[in-house]
Amino acid sequence: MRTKNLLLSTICILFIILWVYAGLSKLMDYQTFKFQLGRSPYLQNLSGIVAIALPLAEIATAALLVFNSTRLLGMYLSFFAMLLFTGYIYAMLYHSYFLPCSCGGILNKLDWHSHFIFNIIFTVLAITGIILMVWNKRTIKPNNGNLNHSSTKHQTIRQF
Amino acid sequence: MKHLLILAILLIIAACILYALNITSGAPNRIKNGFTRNYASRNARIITEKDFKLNLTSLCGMKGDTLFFSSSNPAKIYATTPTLESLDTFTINIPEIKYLIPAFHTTVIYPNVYIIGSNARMLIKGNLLTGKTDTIKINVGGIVNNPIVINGNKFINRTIENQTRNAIFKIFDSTGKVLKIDIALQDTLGDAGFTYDGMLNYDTSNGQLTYVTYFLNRLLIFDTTLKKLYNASTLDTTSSTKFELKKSEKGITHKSPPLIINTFSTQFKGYIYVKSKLEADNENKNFMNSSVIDKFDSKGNYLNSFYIPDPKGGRLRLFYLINGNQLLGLNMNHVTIFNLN
Repeated sequence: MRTKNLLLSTICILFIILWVYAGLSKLMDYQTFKFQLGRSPYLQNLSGIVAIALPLAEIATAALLVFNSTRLLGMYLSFFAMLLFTGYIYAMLYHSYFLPCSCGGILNKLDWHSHFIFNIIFTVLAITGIILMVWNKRTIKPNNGNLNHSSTKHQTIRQF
Repeated sequence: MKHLLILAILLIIAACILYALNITSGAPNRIKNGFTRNYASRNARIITEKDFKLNLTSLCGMKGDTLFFSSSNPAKIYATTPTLESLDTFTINIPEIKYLIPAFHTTVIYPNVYIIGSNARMLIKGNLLTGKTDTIKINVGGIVNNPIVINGNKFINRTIENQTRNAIFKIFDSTGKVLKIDIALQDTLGDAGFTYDGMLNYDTSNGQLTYVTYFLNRLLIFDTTLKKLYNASTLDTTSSTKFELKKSEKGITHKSPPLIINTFSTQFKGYIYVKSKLEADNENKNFMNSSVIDKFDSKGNYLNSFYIPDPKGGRLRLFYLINGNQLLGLNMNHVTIFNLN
């Protein structure tokens, strides 16, 4: 249980760092980010909206991950965002007629392929986080939040 | 169950958003392009292919049966034959030159090798047998774009000038001195050469140079004195650019995604070959898993088109005629030999 909690906390912290960093770096270099989006065949017509909505959504998702009550929602949003980003990079790599430079910040050291791998890893982390949270909720429910997973198993056996 | 359902719904929504972005992306060939092709009776067939596990960037020279390749390392030149049995390596001594990598162009006129650094604005003359090199500063007054080696003492390029940002064809010699400038070959737009960006090729058999633009259907043919011979056009109907440029003090770049229509061109014994990305109105299903090549005569008249099937390594990037019957395809480290007849 302790290992699972540690893993879950690590995933949450990683996502909080990722979203805060990604959101702030985009806002701080808003003009460049908007310009880069305008060069994307898929986002050229939406660059204005996406350039402001995306970093705000990233920071909001980070905030949701901070609080216990909204952490699951934050993790679902993280999963959804990672799905979108991974799909977008796949489309850019294999279907786009033009491949502009990638994003700014530390992540600009990554090329599109490395970014794709990075996103897949974070998508898997998000789904792992969701599974762990749902599992934790289930193990806590039977005894008003005090039981661990092994106790739940024990209760299930006693019921039979 | 509830959580699985949420995950499935999120997955479907993400897929729908990506699909919507895809269909509104303005990708080529979604609508008819308004031209037709005459297909040759036979397409290229793969004879042999090999993955050399090296990043080969171009076929930079031929001598008899020997094919020379440049790589991402300017000091390494590789050689093989059309059977692709083995790959020999030549190493030349290149001093450390700022900005030489990655924008350099290698030409082998055996046993000599000429490496021109576009951003470094340097000419490196070397010998493959001794490995010795000389380095010369090229004084064309800008970026040495599309360099072509006519012979050991004559080079042609499309210079992107520092001051005016115009793209102008210039001849320079082996001392790096400009011999001739021609501003009449192409309009000067002060756009760092983006609008008419393209590929310059030289046909040693007839002494003609061909400049095929990437974003427009322009095909310019001139001689080694920069005298315009023919102003032709490629097969498609793209006569105006479909992108915007952003000009600033730092430089000029694309503001919107440019649509490349002619991805690659080459010349061989009086014929010009252009790899087009645009689908003709009478295109057949080969277009999906092949590259379509449009063939022109030395005056720029369209003759016919044929397909080159995709090799194992993925989509064909570059191709070269290596003799009248054979064609070499290059896709990073994957080399393929095709039969044309």
